[in-house]
Amino acid sequence: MRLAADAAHQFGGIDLDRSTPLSFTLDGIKIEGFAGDTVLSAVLAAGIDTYGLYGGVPMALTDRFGPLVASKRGAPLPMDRLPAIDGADLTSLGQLGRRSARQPNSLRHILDKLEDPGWLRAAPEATLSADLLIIGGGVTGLAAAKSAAVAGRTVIVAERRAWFGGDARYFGPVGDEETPEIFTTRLLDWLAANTNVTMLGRTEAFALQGPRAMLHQIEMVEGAARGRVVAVNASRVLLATGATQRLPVFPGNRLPGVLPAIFAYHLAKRYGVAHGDSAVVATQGNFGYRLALRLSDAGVAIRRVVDTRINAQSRFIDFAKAGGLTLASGQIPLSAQRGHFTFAPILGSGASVNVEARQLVIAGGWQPDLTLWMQAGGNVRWSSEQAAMVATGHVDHIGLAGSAVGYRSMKACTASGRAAQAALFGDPLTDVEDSETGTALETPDEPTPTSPHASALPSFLDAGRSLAVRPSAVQSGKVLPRSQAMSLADAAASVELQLIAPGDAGAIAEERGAPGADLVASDWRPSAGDVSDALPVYLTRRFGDDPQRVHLIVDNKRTFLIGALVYSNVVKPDPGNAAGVIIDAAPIGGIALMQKSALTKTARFIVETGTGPSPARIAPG
Amino acid sequence: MAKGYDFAIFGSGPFSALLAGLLAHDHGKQVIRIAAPVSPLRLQRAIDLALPLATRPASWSMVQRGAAETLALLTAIEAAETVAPVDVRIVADSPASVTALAHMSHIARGNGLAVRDGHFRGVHRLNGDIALTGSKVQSTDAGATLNFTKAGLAELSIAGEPTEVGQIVLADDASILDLMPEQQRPSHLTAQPMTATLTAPARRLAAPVMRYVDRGVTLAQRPDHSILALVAGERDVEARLASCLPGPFPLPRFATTHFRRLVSNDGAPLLGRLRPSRMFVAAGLGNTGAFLAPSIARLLVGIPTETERPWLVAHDPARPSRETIADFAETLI
Repeated sequence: MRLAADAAHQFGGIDLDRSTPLSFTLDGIKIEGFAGDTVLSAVLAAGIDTYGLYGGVPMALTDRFGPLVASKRGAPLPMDRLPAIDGADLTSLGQLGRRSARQPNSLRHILDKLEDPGWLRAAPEATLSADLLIIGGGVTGLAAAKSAAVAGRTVIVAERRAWFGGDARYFGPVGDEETPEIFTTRLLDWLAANTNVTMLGRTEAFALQGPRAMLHQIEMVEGAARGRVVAVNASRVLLATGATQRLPVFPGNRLPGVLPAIFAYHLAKRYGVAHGDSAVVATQGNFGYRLALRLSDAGVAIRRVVDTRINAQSRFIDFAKAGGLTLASGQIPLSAQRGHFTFAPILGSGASVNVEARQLVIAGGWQPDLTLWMQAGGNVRWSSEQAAMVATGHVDHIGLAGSAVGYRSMKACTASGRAAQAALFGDPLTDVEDSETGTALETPDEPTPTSPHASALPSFLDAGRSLAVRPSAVQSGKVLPRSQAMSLADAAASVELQLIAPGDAGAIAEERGAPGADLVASDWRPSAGDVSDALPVYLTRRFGDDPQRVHLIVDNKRTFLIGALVYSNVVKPDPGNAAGVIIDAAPIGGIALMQKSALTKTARFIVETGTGPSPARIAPG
Repeated sequence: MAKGYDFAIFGSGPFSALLAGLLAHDHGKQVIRIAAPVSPLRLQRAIDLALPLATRPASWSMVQRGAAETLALLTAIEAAETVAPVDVRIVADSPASVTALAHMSHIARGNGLAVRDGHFRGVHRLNGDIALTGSKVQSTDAGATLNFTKAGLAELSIAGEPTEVGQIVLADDASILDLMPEQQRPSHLTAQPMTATLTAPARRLAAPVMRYVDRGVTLAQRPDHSILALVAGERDVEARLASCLPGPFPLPRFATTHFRRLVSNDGAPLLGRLRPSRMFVAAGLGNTGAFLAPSIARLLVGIPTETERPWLVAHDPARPSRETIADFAETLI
């Protein structure tokens, strides 16, 4: 549903132009929206919240899990980066199930096999170059870009999403600091006016080897969206890739109607979309309350805010209480069904609580996005302090900054961006301080919640395409399948669930988190090489110091294959006792390399052919 | 100086586990094995097969005898299920390799294997690691370091404390690469970049294990039809790998890792004590190391059988000439 255009906290959608309605079709279904929508936001606003069935279980359609869509003449593009265009006729790519009245809100895909996008294997249409490529256009990347441009460097900033500024607005300002909105707008204006800086929105970096990156960009050409692959050769690369919100692990955590908090926030803030008119918010930290308050102010009835922490303290909790929200502490999501959510006390005593609402908004911890770092050869390890996989090691000419290295506050992220940019070019370094004013009195976030047990309904470890599932109690041992892709968040959850040892987590995450693009058919063959008449080294001195070449025959037509062993007819046919071996073909028989001493004893031999022993004699002449 | 050991075995994987177990149980030695635990979720970096890529009859008979002995040993410790027969197909592209494969095939037949067109039937394959839980072998996964005296002699420390040890054994490539100073590494050995990849389920391979000797690719298909691929070298890795795969394409990958292995330049293993460190190395064993463990254990305690002694002595790195053991060596890509 759409929130009111004038909803509080700009939850009417800051990217929308409500004066310009539009419509397009997706798989034959008419979707209505507004200029500024993405295809995904318009589809969700139309009430389609299900991608399809995975193992018979409905899966929510989200910014991290949705099909590619294509117009009749266009290449497939991702729904979350594709602008909604009036009159477009789109088809989603994948295996579609039967249209059924039981799935009115579904794109009806069968999700048992997901293919990688074709652009991962496409040749670049263009090559750009710059002194610095910044991957990630959040506040970290923007601050780094300005810093580099001020130093006279050419800069390219690639941002996957349709907007710059990242997730900073979700957290808001701390104390008296500038708001993310003002900070981002000011920086973007400055960067737009600087000819050294190229800003690429809706552009995802999908490969990084050395300082060469491959980007997939969606650009508008004559009113139509098209995708193109761009290679960037940069002297240095700064990864300001941010962090991904972890998915609390409980049965039904990816059903339609269960939304990660950061996704629910951006849907409302950018596009004025909410999944329904009521919600329960489950959180392990303070910013879940901030989102609950904003949703409430924007017209979504908050049935309850459920916190895993007991008696947590926060200014946001105080605001929520003052706002009349119903709060519950010390409870953890136990299971979800559509419109019906169950929570249980974390201490294991007391009754579970059922809450009815149209949506469950769930907040987990944060996992730095280090996929490109691993692709470039960087390492990761499990950090119990940060409850996340963190970067280790060094990669020449590639740096990390912002929440990709665990910084939390906007001040620290921007300082980190500037410092990392300076470090890449050998400039004097500046300190990065990550203190959040006024937060000393606030209860810190807890690790991502995990329900006490699995059930028949799958508990996914992450919200993306890897689809790793917590092993159920009936499976033998607590192991993940070996044949399974794994995201860094999957690895983090696996450590917390004791599915993998903390010491192994880094290596497993590196192996599974950056497996490389799909393999395509190849007719590669080795070069023919030089043909040599010399005896192979493995025959050197095998038949004594002075082996002899002789032509062995049996009759006028049979030939002996190369490698066939030759025995004196009196010894047991053991390869170690062979007196010679066929080394060359001949019109009849074969050319053998023989022990000189064997030739002095007899002229008749046994050749062990592939089909049995054959008599042989030295050819006359 | 802390309590001593007769042998300190560095290395993960079945070969080092078998070697440590044999030294402790069959030969009554005090043994410590130093190996980081490896999760079963990690990609395999080797496939243990009783199939030497060798053309010398002595190497074949060593491995075949060793395979029978290893199987008997595993049966005795109720771990026989870790060895199973598997069909292996070797594919050669170049004329030189085709010739070498012909020689290998005939020697394999002479050793009792059924072979046809590069298809070797019923090869013993060791699956999984050998657990030393409950054995006499002491194990540690951390805190063991090697220090080198000015004369180059290797000395063991455990948890920072110098520890007396009769013989240090570097029993896998990673420990040789990590622990042995490069200048002490035998010149016969070359460190080769390797890639291990696990693909999504694919079409059935012509045999459960495939070796493409001229493309540097080894494939092993799993029960779920996913394929573990080991690719040697760093040029054209994906093109070479895909040229060996049956599809369907595009074929997703679930996991990839990079590492290094040691190969001997002449295709023959190196087994013996090195100067000046006096460490014993076992390198260049290819896929066959686990099946040579009984013989190498006897060599380490000084009681090799009369049958195996000449082969073991010939592969000692101290030997001035390797002319009589030089074998088929895969092209380094």
